Amino acid sequence: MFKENQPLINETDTIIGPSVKVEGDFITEGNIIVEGMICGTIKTSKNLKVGPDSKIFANIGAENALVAGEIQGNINIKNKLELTSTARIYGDIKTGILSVAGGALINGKCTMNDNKDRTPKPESTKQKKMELKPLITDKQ
Amino acid sequence: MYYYIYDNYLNEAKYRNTLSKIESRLADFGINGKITRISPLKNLKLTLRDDLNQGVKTVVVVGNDKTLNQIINLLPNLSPTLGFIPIGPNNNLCNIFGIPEGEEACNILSQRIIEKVNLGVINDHYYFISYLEMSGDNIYINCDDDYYISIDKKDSVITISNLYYGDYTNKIPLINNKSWLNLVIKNVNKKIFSPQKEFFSYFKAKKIKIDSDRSIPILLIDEKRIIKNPIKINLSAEKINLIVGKNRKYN
Repeated sequence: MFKENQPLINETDTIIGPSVKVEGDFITEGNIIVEGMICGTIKTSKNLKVGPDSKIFANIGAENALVAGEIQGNINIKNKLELTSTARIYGDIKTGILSVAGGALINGKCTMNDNKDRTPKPESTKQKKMELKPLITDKQ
Repeated sequence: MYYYIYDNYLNEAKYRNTLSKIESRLADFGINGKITRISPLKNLKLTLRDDLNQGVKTVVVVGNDKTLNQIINLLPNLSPTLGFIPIGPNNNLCNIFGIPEGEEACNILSQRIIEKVNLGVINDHYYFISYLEMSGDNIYINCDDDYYISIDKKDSVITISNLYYGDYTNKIPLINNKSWLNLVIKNVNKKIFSPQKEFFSYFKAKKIKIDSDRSIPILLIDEKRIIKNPIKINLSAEKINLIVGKNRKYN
């Protein structure tokens, strides 16, 4: 997924820079970086990064998202949603994994998918049942 | 049968030696043919149409990027295979196509590796192979009839590219020969006591429509054209068959 302060990467399909405003249905198959303003709908089957100075008035659908700006609309993330300290969300959130930094603002309903198979436990953590033997034997 | 079109600037004395070397190399390979020179006094479109009707299958452009773009627009149809021998200044497309300049380009011609290359079309009329640039002031862009882009800041530059060789190549992967056009918007943040900072916006689209209150001047391979609104830009349904080198840069 995106990391903060990452340079423009080759895999990014769309970059909406500052001072650029996009209106309408923005549907793509690639990664999106938003530093400007969007009104409408955003849908991507990959990752979304919302920069700290960006404003989004749209419903959002993505695989993973890193949000540092303002979003007014509902957010539907399949896998992981990460909110940094500057994030401001005015809308409902539906996500698999949620990570919220201190200072982030959420005004809306938050629903998380109850999918037990999502993060399988590694083999090493599965412990065998131990038979408990009494340490003190009663001497009669 | 090969058909060679020389640009007008090759009449200068400094190119005479290079041209004679090229012609002898072509004769060695057995791929020499009729030579026509672009001239302001000659209607090349009519000449080309007549000659292509006589069975010319390969048209070789000898000149620079501008010559190549000019000839693509003069061809009556895109069926003949195009070859390119770059000579002189303003040759950047040859690097993308992996064609060396001058005499060495004859080797590429003789190897005859043919690739289908996309062409951009402006208003269903004017073809471009590389990219066009325009000012982003008072412009509204519609991509694929899905979304609109507007630019708040002045002094922004819009680049729409099919095959790109300019400044952005290090920052954004623009060289392509795929089924979309690249749209780049460059803004410069000017502050008095801090260094200039450039910001980029980058979109992919199949068709782009540009509208403005005024007519839009477009810069197209060193050639400024003023086109009436609205401007429709898309990829042409037909592709050109271009003879390219092994070291071509696009995928």
